[in-house]
Amino acid sequence: MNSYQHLVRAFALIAILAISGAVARASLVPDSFGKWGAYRAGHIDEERERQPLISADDGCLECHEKQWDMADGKHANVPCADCHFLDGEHARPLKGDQSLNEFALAESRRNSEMVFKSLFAAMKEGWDQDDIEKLSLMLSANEWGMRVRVYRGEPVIRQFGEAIAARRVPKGDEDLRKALAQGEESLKIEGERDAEVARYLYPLKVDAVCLECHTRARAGEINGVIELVYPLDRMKLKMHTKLADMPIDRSREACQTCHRYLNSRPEKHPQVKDFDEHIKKGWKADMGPVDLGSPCLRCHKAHIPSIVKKVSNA
Amino acid sequence: MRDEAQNRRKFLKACAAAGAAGLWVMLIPRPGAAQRVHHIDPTLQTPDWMDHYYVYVIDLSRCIGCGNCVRACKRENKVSEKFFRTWVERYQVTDEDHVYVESPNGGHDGFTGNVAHGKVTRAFFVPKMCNHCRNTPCTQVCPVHASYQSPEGVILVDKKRCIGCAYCVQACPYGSRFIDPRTHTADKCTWCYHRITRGLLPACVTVCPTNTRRFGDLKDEDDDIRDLIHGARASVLKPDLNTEPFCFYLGFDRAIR
Repeated sequence: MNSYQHLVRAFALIAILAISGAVARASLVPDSFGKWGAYRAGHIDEERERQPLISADDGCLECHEKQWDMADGKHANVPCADCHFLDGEHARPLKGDQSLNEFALAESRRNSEMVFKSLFAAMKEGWDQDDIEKLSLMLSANEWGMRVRVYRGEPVIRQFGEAIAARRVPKGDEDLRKALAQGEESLKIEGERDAEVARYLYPLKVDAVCLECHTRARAGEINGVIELVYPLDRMKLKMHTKLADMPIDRSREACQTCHRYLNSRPEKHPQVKDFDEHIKKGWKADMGPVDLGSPCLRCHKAHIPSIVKKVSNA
Repeated sequence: MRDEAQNRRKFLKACAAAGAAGLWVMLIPRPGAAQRVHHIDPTLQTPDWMDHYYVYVIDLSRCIGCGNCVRACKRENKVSEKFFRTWVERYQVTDEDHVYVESPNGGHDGFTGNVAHGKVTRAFFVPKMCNHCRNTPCTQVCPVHASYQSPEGVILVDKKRCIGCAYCVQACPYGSRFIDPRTHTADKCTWCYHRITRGLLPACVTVCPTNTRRFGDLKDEDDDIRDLIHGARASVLKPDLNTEPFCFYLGFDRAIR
């Protein structure tokens, strides 16, 4: 029997080693190890959960549709993030007026309310539609080119008769018809690039104050529509002051993205001598040899023939 | 003596029997054994995993060496100072076929001056990064399985597992790995795994102004990158090493190493 003790001892040793091995393995190997392959599966989720920092252009387009169109020409292919270093902070929408459309809408509403107040004062004096036409012409003669027009709604026609010729609803004007019939506010940006106009329709809903004189109208009906048409340039200007609050990197660093070589050897590139002056002037005629993808190649073609070929093909 | 000999014989017989029985036990298939093999059990997949296999294309004839990608990568991934997950090299080849390669600060601040001696006959920029090989030398040497290939073909490093032994840094023939001095673990390009799994492009591709860097999904039939890979004469870095990189170069030059 003595010899079997060797066996028992050996198995006991193996058992102890196996158990301690199993315990060590259980404590050292992470839970998710081996779930997808020979690695800790939890890491894939950790890696996925990291938040992106650099914004893609598609993200900018969501709000900055107008800026997108404006950023044409030489910088058409330059991603927004190159100059507007868009990280987490930038990706947040700006407070309040996020886009040109919203900005224009708020501005238009304010203006329409002003126009209505003038109208209201005139109406209280007992002005008829010829006088109101004169008033709207007067309002239209403003220095920033906003045109004001007032259209007569159904309840007013019922009470005071048809509108004069100048204020009839033009045929085929769906927006205006909708505004008059259903009280639908609308803002549309029309026209060619750089000469865009915003057309805003402000329906005047009948309320208790109106009913004092407009006796044949019912509350909730549309007494008329104020139409504002104005060039968008002014909006763009305002929008840009908004954009200036954003951390846009217009410093040397940002420009050097493409214009690095011009700055690296200023003595060889007299056309960009005064850099600050250059920025003030804007990126225009005195740019010197700048072409996207080939800032150097205009002059230094001989050095990099393959790139020149590619760029001229692109 | 005889008793002892008999006992010994009995003992040895018992040992042999136990050993043989143990061998038979080992032949019984154990549950879970299959999982330990690197193949992935399809029932365990998260839904979108098998729908992607990513590929990266670099068109060398377009690169202007602006360094945008290097800066974007630094910002996006908070890469340690003086180290790069992606970098840009400038090659200058003279008429005597001397090749001058430089990458000052990884191309982070662009390139200035001329390092070549003699008449430069051709010069070009070569952006480099992890090639995300299919046959990876780096993951094979990792003793703790911290470095691995995701099902989409992206090579990742699990920093919690990594012990910083730097075997993988030595194993990578492209020099795309380094030991992050802050964490003392291996660090490398992930193709911005957190971005691509959200449908975004890697940061370097997003900011490239000349469309040099392109990224796509080989399993997406509408992706232009498929035609590009199959139609263009794309090359890879060090094809002789048989690492099967998934980072392809267009407009390759014989001087590139």
